[in-house]
Formats: sequence, C-alpha cells, structure tokens
Amino acid sequence: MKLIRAIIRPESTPRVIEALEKNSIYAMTRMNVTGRGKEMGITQGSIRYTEIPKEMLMIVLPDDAVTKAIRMIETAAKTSAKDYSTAGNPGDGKIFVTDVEESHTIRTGEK
Amino acid sequence: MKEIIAIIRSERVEPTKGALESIGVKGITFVNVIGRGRQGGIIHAPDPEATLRREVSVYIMQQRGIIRDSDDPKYHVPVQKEIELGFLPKKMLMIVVNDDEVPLAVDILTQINRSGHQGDGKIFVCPMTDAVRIRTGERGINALS
Repeated sequence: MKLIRAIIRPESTPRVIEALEKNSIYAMTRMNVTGRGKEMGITQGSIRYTEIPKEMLMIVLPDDAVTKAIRMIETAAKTSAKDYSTAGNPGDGKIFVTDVEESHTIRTGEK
Repeated sequence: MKEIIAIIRSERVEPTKGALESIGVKGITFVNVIGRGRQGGIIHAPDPEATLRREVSVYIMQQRGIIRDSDDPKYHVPVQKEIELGFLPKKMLMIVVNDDEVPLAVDILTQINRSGHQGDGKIFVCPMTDAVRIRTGERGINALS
C-alpha cells in the first residue's frame, strides 16, 4: 500500500475530488495547510508572501492503483497557463508517495 | 521506528490520549482534518438535526443515494449528491513508536475508538527512518524516550 499526499490549490480541490470519484476513489482525508515551493512564495512588488494557503489530500491506495491515481490528480490539479504555451503554473502543487505497511479498520479490526 | 497515523472521531481524542499515555506513548500530534471513507461520507440525512450531529447520526445516513436503515420509501429515492456533506470533521493523530510497540499501540487505538459504526476511522502504519530531538540533537530511538 502507498500513501499519496497531494498538496494542491484549494480552488482545484473539487476538480481533483471529482476526478477521483469517477474512478471510485472515495476515501480520502483533507486538511488546510500553508506552504511554499521552490519559488519561495509569491513576490508582489516589495512584498513577499511566503506562506500560501494550500489543501493537502491524503489517500491510501493499493500499489497497483497508485500510478493511475497520480495521473488523475496531476491532470485535474494542473491549471492552464495564460498563453497556453506550457501547461501548468508554479503553485499547482506537489504529489508525494510514501509506503504504508499496515492499515487497520477500527470498526472491525480487520487488517 | 514506525509512524502510526490514525484518523479517529473528534470526541474520542481525550480517551485516546489517556490510553496512549498508559502504555507509555507520550508524544502525540493531533491535526484537525476532514475526510471520508469507502462509503463516500454522508451525502444526505433526512432529519436536519441529525445532519448537524452528523458524527453520531450514522444509523440514518444515506450511502451514495441508498438509505440502508430507513423503512420509509420516500427516502429510497436516489438524490443528487450534495457533496459538501460528504466530508466529515475528524482528528488525525500521529505518533512515532518503536517497532515492538506497534501491535500494542494499534490494539489500544482500535479498542478505544471502536463504536461499531461506520466512521470509526483507519489506522495506518508507515516506516519512519529517523527522528531528531531538536533541543539536544539526539537521533533515532533516543529522541523518542
């Protein structure tokens, strides 16, 4: 099993969730986070915003479903560039995948 | 070392803290999250008050357009999803424990948080490669004890 952590724009969350729902991935945990990427936030004139609100989705999936899920999140979370020369903008987010060794359902205790 | 991530009901936080302390796990991190499970959360509850108490109204909840426990046929009509009810407030707790403490911690978490209804939560066990106590710079197991 793998844990996917996707840090995405809050406004693209509904699109991502819809895309995952279409592939019957319903189980997920969401949380509001703030952060910045390699651009070190946003600079507007002389003001630098270093903590930008984002939304983090956590999804645990079996190994074989991970690649497909990542592609779905990617497609849904990518914003189109203003001039359409390149897809995506800085700030669209990141997806991290880590290992999960066991998962337990509390209600039934099953592994 | 292993990291245990558990997503539990908000009202079970206090008992969980006590139970974990009793087995010697003192460092706990809680995060407010919203989430849903396999059932896709609660889409629609016929009783508005129950909707407000949605954490405890599991027995009348409607799963993906089908009410399981209602005999009234008027609730059997599939409704369009009203998605904002789909995510429920939960608490996520993160603890880091030694490998041999994992089964005990998982047992305790399961016991304390089990109500037998959907929405009790999940526990995930993940590998954790290192830990550092910032104050002293201790690494690994020493940073936990």
